[in-house]
Amino acid sequence: MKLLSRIEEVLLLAIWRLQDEAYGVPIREEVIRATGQHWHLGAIYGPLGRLYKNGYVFTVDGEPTPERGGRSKVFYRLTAKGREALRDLYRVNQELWTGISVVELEEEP
Amino acid sequence: MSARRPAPSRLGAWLVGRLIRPEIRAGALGDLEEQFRDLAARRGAFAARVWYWRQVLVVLPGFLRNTIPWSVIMFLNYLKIALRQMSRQKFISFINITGLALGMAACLLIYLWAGHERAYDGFFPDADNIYRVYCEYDVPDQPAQRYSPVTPSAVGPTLTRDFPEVAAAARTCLHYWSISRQDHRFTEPVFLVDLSFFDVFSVEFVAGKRESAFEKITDIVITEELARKYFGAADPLGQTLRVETWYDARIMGVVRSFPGNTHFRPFGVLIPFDLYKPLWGRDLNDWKTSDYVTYIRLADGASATALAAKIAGLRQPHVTDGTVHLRLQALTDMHTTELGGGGLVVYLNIFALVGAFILLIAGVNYMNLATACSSRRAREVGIRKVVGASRSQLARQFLAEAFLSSLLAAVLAWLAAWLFLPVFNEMTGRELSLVFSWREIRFLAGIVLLTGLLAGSYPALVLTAVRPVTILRGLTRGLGGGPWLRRGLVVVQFSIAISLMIGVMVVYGQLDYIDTMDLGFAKEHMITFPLGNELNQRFERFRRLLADHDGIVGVTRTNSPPTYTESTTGGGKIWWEGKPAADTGPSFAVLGVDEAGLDTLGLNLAAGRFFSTDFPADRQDAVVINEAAARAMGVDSPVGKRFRIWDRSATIIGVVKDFHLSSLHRAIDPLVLLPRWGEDTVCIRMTGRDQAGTLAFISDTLRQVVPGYTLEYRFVEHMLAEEYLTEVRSGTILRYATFLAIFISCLGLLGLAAFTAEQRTKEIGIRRVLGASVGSVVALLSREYFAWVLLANLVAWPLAWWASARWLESYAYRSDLEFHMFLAAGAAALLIAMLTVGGQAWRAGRANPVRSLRHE
Repeated sequence: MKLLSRIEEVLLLAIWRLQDEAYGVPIREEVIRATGQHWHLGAIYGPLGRLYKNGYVFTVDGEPTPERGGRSKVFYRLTAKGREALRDLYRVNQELWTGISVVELEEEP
Repeated sequence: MSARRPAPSRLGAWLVGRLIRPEIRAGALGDLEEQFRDLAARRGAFAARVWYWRQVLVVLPGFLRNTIPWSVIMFLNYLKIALRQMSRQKFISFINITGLALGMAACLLIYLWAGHERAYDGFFPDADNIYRVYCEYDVPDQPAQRYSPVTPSAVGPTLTRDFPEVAAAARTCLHYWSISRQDHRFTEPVFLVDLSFFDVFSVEFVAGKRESAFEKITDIVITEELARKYFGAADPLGQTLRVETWYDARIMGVVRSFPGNTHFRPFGVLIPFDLYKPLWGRDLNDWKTSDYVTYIRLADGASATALAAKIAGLRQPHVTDGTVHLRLQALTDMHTTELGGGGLVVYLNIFALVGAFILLIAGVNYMNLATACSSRRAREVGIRKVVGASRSQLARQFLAEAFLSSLLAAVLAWLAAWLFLPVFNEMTGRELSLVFSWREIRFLAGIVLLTGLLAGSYPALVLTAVRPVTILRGLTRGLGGGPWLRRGLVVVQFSIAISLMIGVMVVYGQLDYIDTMDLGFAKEHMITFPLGNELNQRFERFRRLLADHDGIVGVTRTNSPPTYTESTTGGGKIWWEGKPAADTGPSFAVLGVDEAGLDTLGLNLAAGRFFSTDFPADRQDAVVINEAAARAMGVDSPVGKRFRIWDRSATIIGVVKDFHLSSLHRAIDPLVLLPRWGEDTVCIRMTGRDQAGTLAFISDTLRQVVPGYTLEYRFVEHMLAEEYLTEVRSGTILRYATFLAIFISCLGLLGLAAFTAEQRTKEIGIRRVLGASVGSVVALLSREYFAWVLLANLVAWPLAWWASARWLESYAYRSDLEFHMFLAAGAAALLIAMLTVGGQAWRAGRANPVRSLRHE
């Protein structure tokens, strides 16, 4: 099992959550919404490209539309490997958080 | 709607593209554009642009930090290797860089020259909007008479009045009149112009005002230069100059003299066009007779082509016979392009091509030597590949080396051009100067780029193709592309060189032909000068005084110097006894001449007699024609037949043998000689003995007859030579260019031969030990080069034949293309090539075989 970086995890989750609507613009919006911080261009498309290269996601071209200057939307979908990676991450996260109380974390030492 | 929608900037998109993995690039750019459009729709294009650029700029620094330092380091490494390579192979580098530098220097000089010629008249403000109106006649059998630069006087006013596209139109006509102030009397170029001339050409007034320039019909405007000549430092404004003997003209303006590169040369005095009416009673709104050059300036935004189409048929209704169209020629084309095409522009194009060829030859040298020596580089390429260099990186390296060579060559080229410029100026007859200006830099940079790309791309392709495994195992043979390509390139080089050589021989052959051709009149020792009004009135006395001098053959008056005549009938307007009714007939050239014309010009009579003072009726009732006219009229014995030209009716009293009244480009036109018509030129033929004394005598006599008159003469032979000045100069330049082409080709051959000889050192050693003679080794090494150059001949001959024939077509009278020219060029190329290669082979053959065998 190979652990993904945090942003890769966030991206995979965003793609999974958006399902059929997962193309660049909403993905970025989703990432920004979930994390509450600004992600610049390179920070999104860099890891996305890496995910693509390593086979976690694949792309499906949509119809070209005029508002995109004649370019098609490129939708991202998880591959089997991508879904497996998410499952692994879920397990690891659960493992890591087991027995940890958020209430205690909020108390001043 | 969608057409005007804002789009993200191209540069921004390109930059973004650099940042994103190519697999997902298109999608990402689409995403960005979608957001951009969305933003543009909600908050305006500006906000969207700002947003887009913020997206780009935020990531840019990191990107640059990660790429630039590495590129710089790699580049420095390439540079180091390239410099080492150059210093290791000094001879090859020398050949490469010298060849490229010479080629570039040639291109640079040709570019300078062409730029100068094309810039003629370009200094006039708004020059692109100024056009000359000219006439095209429909005379199918006489292409030389098709175009005429002069138009009728009605053209100018009509264009201004009826066509809103024409902002201003001006008629001009040049005369040579005597202008005097007290005892200073000179013959000056006098332009009769409309006041609108100053609108068309935006002439700058140094003194006086444009509005009041021609207040009265006797007002004149002069150039600064002329003002200095007549008035020195004094203020010329309001002063008077005497025009011929006619009237005192008041100077109402002084204009700045034009720079040297204008077709208005010579230029001196401007006089109101309307003066023609009181002076000679000319109709200034006439459509029939063409005498004036008309210039127009287009209104802003008007299209010349559209206007040309509109005015083409303007003159037609006023012409009773023949067809004529008005056409437009751009002012900036006047110097380079003759009416109907041809002229200097042909030579400029030829030389642009020649320059490119020379550069190509030098580039081929680089390619050939780089690939031939590739085995030396193979190991380096192998190692680089093993440690992970991609092919494109390697290709970039070899391209960079070619660029470095061409950059060094460019620096040398500048130096060479600068050194050679005085010689080149002599050849072109111009005052060119090489200044460090943006125009030249840009050109040279372009040349460097082109040469680098041309010379470097093939080695880059070939040298990077090697497989590391083969190389590192030590197998370096058979690298560097097929020898066939190299051979092909050498053939190309020599084909070009041989074609140029043939070209030079053809040009000189034709010039020699022109020089030795019998023109049909006596051009030797003949001078001409303008006939003033005063001299014309006292001409008989002048002639009598000269007649006694034994150095003078004859004195005559003509309407133009015997080297050309602009007066033609342009088809029609001519009738003769026995002319077929429906026929419009040929266009006749017209030459006015007095009774002494036959002897002075040295013409020969074919039939009948010439004008004579013994027949006073000749003045009104006689014409003489030439043989070409007789042929064109289809009359067997023309003498005695009636003949009408314009409204002048006369008897043909004689036929003269054909003679060349214009350059040999033109066929001899039918010519009619009119007695005492439009005379404004004096021709005097001398015997050639004591020419200086005779000229002094003429000058003295002239002053005796017309006090204060200064003799400003020209030799007809010189004027004839000027007709072919472009050809003569082009011939000289072509000769040098050819020499360069051959030299650079041989440089390349030298490098190749030296390289092969070195590669085969061991083989030659063995052959020598086994008893081969030096001669047989030389033969062995030179044989293949011999074959290549021979093949180059076969390629060059048809090409050169075709090009030469095309060039010669511009002459109505031309020398033949002779086979021995081709043979000579081929033999010369072969000889030079063999000497080059043979020298190397001889050295290889003479080397001590013991040393050769120890080689490597």
